[in-house]
Amino acid sequence: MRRIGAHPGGKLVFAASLSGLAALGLGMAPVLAANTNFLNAGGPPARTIDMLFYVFLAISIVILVGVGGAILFACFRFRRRSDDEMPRQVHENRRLERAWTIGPAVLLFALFILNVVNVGYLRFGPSSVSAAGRAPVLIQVTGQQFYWTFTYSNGKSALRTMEIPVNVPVDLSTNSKDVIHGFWVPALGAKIDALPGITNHAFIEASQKGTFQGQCYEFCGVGHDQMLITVKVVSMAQYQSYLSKL
Amino acid sequence: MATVDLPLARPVPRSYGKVREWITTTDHKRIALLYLFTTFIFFGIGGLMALLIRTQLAEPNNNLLSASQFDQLFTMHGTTMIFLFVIPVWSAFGNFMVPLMIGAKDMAFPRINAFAFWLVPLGGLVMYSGFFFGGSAAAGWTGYVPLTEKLYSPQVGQDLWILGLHILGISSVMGAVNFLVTIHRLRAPGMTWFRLPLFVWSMEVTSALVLLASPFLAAGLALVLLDRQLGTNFFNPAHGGNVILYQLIFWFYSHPAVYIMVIPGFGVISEVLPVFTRKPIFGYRAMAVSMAAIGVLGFMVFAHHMFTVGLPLPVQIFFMATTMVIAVPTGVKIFNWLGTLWGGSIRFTTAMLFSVGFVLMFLIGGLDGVFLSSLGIDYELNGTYWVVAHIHYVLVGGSLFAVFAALYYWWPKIFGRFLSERLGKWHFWLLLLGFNLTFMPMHFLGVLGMPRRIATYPTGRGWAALNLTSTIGSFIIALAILMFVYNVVLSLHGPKTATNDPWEGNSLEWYATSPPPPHNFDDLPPVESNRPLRDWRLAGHATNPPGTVLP
Repeated sequence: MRRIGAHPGGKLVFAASLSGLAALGLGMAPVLAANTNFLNAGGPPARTIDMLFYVFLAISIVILVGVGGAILFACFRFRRRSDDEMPRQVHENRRLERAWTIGPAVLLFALFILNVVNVGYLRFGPSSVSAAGRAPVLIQVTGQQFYWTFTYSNGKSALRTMEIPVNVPVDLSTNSKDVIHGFWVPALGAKIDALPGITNHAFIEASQKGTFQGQCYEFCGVGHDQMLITVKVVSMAQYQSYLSKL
Repeated sequence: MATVDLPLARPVPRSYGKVREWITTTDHKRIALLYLFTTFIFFGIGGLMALLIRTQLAEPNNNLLSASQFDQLFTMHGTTMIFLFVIPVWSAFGNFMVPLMIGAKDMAFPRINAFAFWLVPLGGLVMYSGFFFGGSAAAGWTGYVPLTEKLYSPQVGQDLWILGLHILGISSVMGAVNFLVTIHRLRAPGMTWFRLPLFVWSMEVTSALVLLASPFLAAGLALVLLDRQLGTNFFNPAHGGNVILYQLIFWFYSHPAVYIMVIPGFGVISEVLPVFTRKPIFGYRAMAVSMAAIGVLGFMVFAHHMFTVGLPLPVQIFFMATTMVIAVPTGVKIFNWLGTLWGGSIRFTTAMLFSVGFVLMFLIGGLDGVFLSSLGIDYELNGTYWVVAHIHYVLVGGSLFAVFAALYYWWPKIFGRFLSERLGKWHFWLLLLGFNLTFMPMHFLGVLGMPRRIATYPTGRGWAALNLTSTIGSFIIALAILMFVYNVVLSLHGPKTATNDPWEGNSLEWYATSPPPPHNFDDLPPVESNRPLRDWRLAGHATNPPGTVLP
């Protein structure tokens, strides 16, 4: 029987994959700075989600390397060396099995709690106490094939581009005039369906001025890819003057 | 030694000819081959659609395909792979192997079995005929309302899609009843529930899921059809209809459907690993119980597909909890497979490579799925390419790898010939490379904010290089599949060299000849453990002719 890894091309393949990984790493650097990368959080809700993501990522990598590594190790270490070889017939190990049932359950319970304590904030925004002096701005978001309408508290509306004040929670109420759409601006941390006949609420907040991109994430027909969203984050004064000029 | 009475041979009238013989067959092994052939044709069609999709997405602002063509393709790609390939391909292996593994002569209802099969190509043709009548369905395999209402999808293709799925649903339910009755009633003497091969266990759990879940899909789709054709308003908000209702019904079927697609794969891996490690499966009972647990829990997690729909927060938290709970029995399976490998005497046949590949890829697919179970993270990743990556790690890295493991493992039993191990290894390594090149970058695309199901994308978002990588990977997958097809063609023209028990198997199918005769067995060895054939060999009986050199 041929041994895996004994192939003369093995070193070449190894070198090639290593340089491939390095190239991928270099190529990723500018990519990660992308405006639609939610890990470049533009405000507190996205930052909270990023924290959750990094916790999950760290744990996943540890498990992947640990369990995946153990599987690969077993594959190399326990290769059959002769046809007469008969390994010990281990049927089970109750203690081990109990450990790898309870261990992941405890870990998942911790991750569950971590989510539960954060999810109320992500859905409803800061509670009224902590947001003293920062009354949320209300904006109505309406999806229709294939553009977005943003209606402000003074009843004026704009298409495709939304302006919001910096450092103020924004309460979005979403709706659709036809099929289901989805409002999403990754760096600001809101993702919520815009449904016909049902009004949904979500909250976003930006802590830096600038322009953030997003787009419809729920398939809505032939123009789905054109339902782009631009959010301009400006100062409160600029926001007020924007509203008055609409 | 137990003996089984042979049925009186029913002669097939000679004038019928070969074609008629195949059309009218009720032999479970022939029906299995019909399933295998048909589902792989659909696999090829679905794969070509995937290549077109990937070519369109290779670069930004591409207009190789129109948005309408793109939407039809991704809809029919998903529908084909799920309903015409992965779900029915397990009926192929189940049909061939379940009766053999439990020592039966055939399935419990041979004629229903044949009928269930013939509904599969019919359902496929009904769905595909939409292409010739103004366009196929184009609302995604999930077919969310109100996009599928007549106002937004006027083409008859959408109705044909619903009818096709109804036909396939009837086929699935009939197949499931047949498997359940077969497994409950036709087991060989001595084959208790905890001596049942784990693949049979997996078909038992899968069939129960099909039986309980499929009617919900049928009902949901029927309501859409009524809305479209008779003007009812189940999902029309203007007249008090509710668009979320459809999603609840749909996912009540479609989440269990994910397990319908992957649990038989668990079964296959649990058959292959013990044979090529020369060890018993680690924790047999835990494996059987965890499959059943996944089956039951599978009904309680469905709303995790709907975290951004705006369900009340306590409901979302409930479904986050159940989704995390289902990771526990899934983890138990992976650890037990590791336990089976540990300390074994491992032989890397192609079937074994695909099985280990399955465990590793399914591990990734399990981990990236846990991200989606988190409400907070799902508020970003729902509906993105991260989800596309996840489903493909589960259904390609999982189910498809298991299908190939099953093929290389059981091919000598089914055809009496071997697939080339040399070509098989090329097939495996190319598929592993192509698969990871295609789907690993999709995780990054999800994080970078690329929504799924967009026909094209703008520049300047950092998506282009990753998409190109993914497209290159998809063509490497195609090359791997061509390698497999070449292997099949060579094998079917090769000599019939397979003996009864070429891998030193554990279960009863290896007691029959390769391929088995119409009645499967003249007699059976006693069943006194969950490895009856190994017991038989160790008792000094030869399962291969003297002097056989095993491959």
